[in-house]
This record gives sequence, structure tokens and C-alpha cells, in this order.
Amino acid sequence: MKKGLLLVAMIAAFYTTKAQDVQEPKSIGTTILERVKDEKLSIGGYGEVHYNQQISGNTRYNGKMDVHRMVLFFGYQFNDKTSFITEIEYEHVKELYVEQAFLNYNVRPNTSLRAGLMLVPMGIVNEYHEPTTYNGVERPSVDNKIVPTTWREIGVGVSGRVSSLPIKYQVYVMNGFNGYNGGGILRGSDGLRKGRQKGAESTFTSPSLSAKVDYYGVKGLNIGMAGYFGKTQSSAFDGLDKNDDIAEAVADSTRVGISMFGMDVRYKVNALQFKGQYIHSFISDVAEYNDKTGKDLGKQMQGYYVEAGYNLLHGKEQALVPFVRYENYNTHHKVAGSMTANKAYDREEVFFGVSYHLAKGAVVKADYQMSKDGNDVKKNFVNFGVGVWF
Amino acid sequence: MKRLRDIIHLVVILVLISGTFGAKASGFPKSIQKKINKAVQKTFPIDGLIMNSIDDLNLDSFACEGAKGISLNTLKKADELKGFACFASSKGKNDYFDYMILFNENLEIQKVVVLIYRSSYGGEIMAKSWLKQFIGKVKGEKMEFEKDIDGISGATISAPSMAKGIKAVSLLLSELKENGRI
Repeated sequence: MKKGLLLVAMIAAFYTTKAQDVQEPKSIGTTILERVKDEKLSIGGYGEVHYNQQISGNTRYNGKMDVHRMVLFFGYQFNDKTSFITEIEYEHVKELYVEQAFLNYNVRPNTSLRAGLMLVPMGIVNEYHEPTTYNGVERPSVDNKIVPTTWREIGVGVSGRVSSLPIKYQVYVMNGFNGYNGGGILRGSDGLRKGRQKGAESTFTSPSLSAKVDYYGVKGLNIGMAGYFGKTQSSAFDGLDKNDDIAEAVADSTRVGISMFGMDVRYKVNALQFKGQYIHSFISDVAEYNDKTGKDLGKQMQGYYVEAGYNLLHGKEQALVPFVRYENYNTHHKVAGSMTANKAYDREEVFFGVSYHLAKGAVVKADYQMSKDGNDVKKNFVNFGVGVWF
Repeated sequence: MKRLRDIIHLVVILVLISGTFGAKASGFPKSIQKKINKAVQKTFPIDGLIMNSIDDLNLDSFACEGAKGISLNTLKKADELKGFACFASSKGKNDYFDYMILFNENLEIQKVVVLIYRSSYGGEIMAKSWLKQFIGKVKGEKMEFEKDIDGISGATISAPSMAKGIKAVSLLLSELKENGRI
């Protein structure tokens, strides 16, 4: 009853306005929808400059000073529903990449279709990778060896929110890793990392499916669940006779199947911040792949990290966040066939450090990194960096 | 190849579910109208409430940092003022998002609802648990981001932008009231 009355009232309001206002009929709706037409082009960027110095033992090591990334962001709003987003990246000063380039079309207020070069939603850092959003000079190691950030491929999909629930979802059909290009590409030390095609004349044999659901209903808490499924791409299929089953079977041994599952949690309460992430990849047909290519790819890869930080300047404009992070990851969690797992790939790391946010979007970082592998080989580093995001 | 077919099926179904073909070209989407109605009803459980836009304000002369496209409306029953419904937009990293702020007659914020969020990132600000923080605020006071208003992961840009926008609208209303214009 009330609802009906209100609606009637609104319609009445609409018509009263219409009658009074000679220039143009104005409903509340149309005024909001007449979006601000200026500022169609958005320009932004992020960048980070690092100094990494190994300091372990009695050996002398040279340090590394690197403009690790400098990324320029451009967004263009064609109209209310259609936008294009791209990020152009310089890595280590001289390597040029396109990190994202996709067209976004809002089919409904909470739902958009996207196509182009997009980030794979897996874990926290692959999507939220600007240096001011995470602690530590370098991105977490799990987000390098297990989730190969910045992981992006060309594809198409849906990104949206459930209108009545604090839930966000993304589903994309994308190109996958390239596992074979005349020779094997994927290997034990860093798993899938070398197989990223990054949208550069990428080889496409069959699509992969990537999906993520995020829940943000409790204040300060975000929980994400992600999955990625697909076979790797392979140049061995190119030019094959479609009816030649044997040739197809031979070519198939150059591919592996990947099922990756991820879960991540972020929690902030007052000055305290907590982050955690767990990723597990199951890789099929690995024995055949390793036999064929001479590589040492693992059958299962697993990694997780937990991190706690405390903002000493909570409530102020600046932020000073000492943090500690423990990481554990193994790219030979399980191996296939008669292979024995390489213990050097079973790694543990502890980071202590501080992030000093001079302003929103500008951060100075320092940390101490202790890593140890399954052979008890230890390496220690000090890292320093500056990062910006605007 | 069976896998490919399955995936294509899945995407087609998802697209259908998301209502691509039902999208209207213009006007005020039904779902948004519903959202507005619901919020107003819940906040002001009064029969015969009328929303009227206040048109004779020259808002350009006010500095409303962080909020654009502001539209102010009175909520009245007969001639009795019950509150205000204000619409505004703020900018995330790339896109604007639209929201409604409901004030009572003393200009205290009663509710904030995000009506349209366009960007794929930062929509976490639509969470009721986060928006609740603005309830009871008045005259733009105690609305400093990360001091009085906590941030939210995933909305590094949209959250402070919205806090700024709401503060601007709150200040605008108090100023208009002090000048006797509303």
C-alpha cells in the first residue's frame, strides 16, 4: 500500500515538475542519468623503483637498482555505458608491455561485459597490484611463482555484482598459457610463469575459463574465491590434418591441463590489517609433457601467505605500517611419474618491513627478506623502494 | 572440443542471465527506481510522502568538492517537511558512480544508497556495512576518511571519493539552510 502511494506520489511529483518547468521535463531519474559529460578521458599511472641487495653470508653480492615498473593508465568514457581501459607498462625501463586493454560495456547498472586484454582474477595482487595497495617492496612471492602476476590474457566475459547482496563476480573465457612453442616452456622453478602470453601475438588452441567471486558484506572484510581451468596452448597443433588422430595425440603430449584454485582474505579493523592467500594448482598430463620436452614441471603447485600490519598513524593523513609476512610455496608440491621433487622449489620466506605512505598514493618502503628452501639454502635480502599511484 | 562447447554454452547462459537483451536504451532503469523507492520508504515510513525537486538553487556558486551533478529534493507530507533526498555523483578511478543521500529535517544523514556503480573495481562501497558509517552525520562534521570513515579493501579510490562527495553535499545543505534558501 505504502509502496503504491509513494510511486503515485513520485509520478505526481514528476508531472508537477513537468508542468512547471517549461524548458524540459526533469525527473529525478533523468537528472542523474544525464551524467557529467566532461572528463571523458582519465589519465593515471603507477610506478615503482626498487633497490634489492642480497646480504647473506660471507659472499659479496652486487645489488640491483631497477625502475621495476612504470605504468600509464588511460580510461576513456565513450558514453554512460561504454568505456575503454588500458595500461601501458614499461618494465625494467626498456621492456614495453600492454598490461590491460579492454572494452567495457555496462549492460545493466550492476553488470558489464568486457572484451580485450584483461587481468585474470586470481588472488589479491594480480588485480590489485599498484604499489600503494600492498606491503613489501616486491609483490608477494606467491604472487610471482604460483600466480604469475601480472597475469593477463585476451578474452571476453562478464563482471558484475549481485544487486541485493554484497557479492561481486567475474567470469571470463580467455586464452591460456603457452606450454609449447617448438620446445617446452613451462618448468619446475617458476611453474606457469614463462607461459604467459600477455596478449602479444598469442597462440590460441583452446579457451580457458577464469572466474572469481568476492564477498564484502562485513565491514573491513573481503573474501575471494577463484578458479581457473584450461589446457595450455601449443604450436604443435598448427597445420595438423584434422582427421589424423595419431598426429593429434602426439601434439596433445605438448599440452598440460591446469586447474587452479585460490582463496584470499583481507581484513582491516582500525589500525590493524590482515591479509592471507592460498593458491593450489593441479596440472594434468605432466609426465607426458616432461618426457616430450625434457622439462621438470610439477604436477601440483601450492602456495600461501599470511601478513599482518599495523598502521601507527591510523586516523592521520599519512600512514606508517610496519608489517610481517610469512610465505610458503612449492612449485614441486607433487611431481609426476618417476621424477623426484626438487627440494630447492620448496620455499619459505619471512618479510619484516615498513611502508610509509607520505600521502595517499605515494609510498616509501623498506623490508628485510629471509628465504630458505627445502635444501636449507638460505638467502637474505634488504629491499628498498618508492611507489606511486595516481 | 567438447570443453570449448561447454564453455561457450556457459557464457551464453551467463549473458542471458545478465539480461543483455532486456536492457533499456533510455530512461530511469526500473531497478534503480525500485532502489530509490525502497530506501525512501524504509527511512521515512510515512504515507503520502512527496518528493519534489528544488530547482531554483544556483548550485554553481557553491564549491562542492568531490560531488557532481547534485540534485536536491524535498520530502514532504502535505506541506510538512520531513527531510531531503539528494542525488550526486563522484568519481572512481575511471567512472562516475551515482548515489542518493537521505537527510531528515535536521539535516542528519539517515541513509546512503549507491544507485549506479559503473566500474568493475571499487564497487565494494555499495556494501551496506560500509555505508552505515555515514548515518547520523551532520554539517559535514566527523566525516574525515580513514579517521571517522574507515576505508574498504578493493575500493582504494572510490571509498575516499565518496566520503568526500557526501561531505560536500552535507555541507551544501547546511549552508543552504543557514542562508534560509531551503
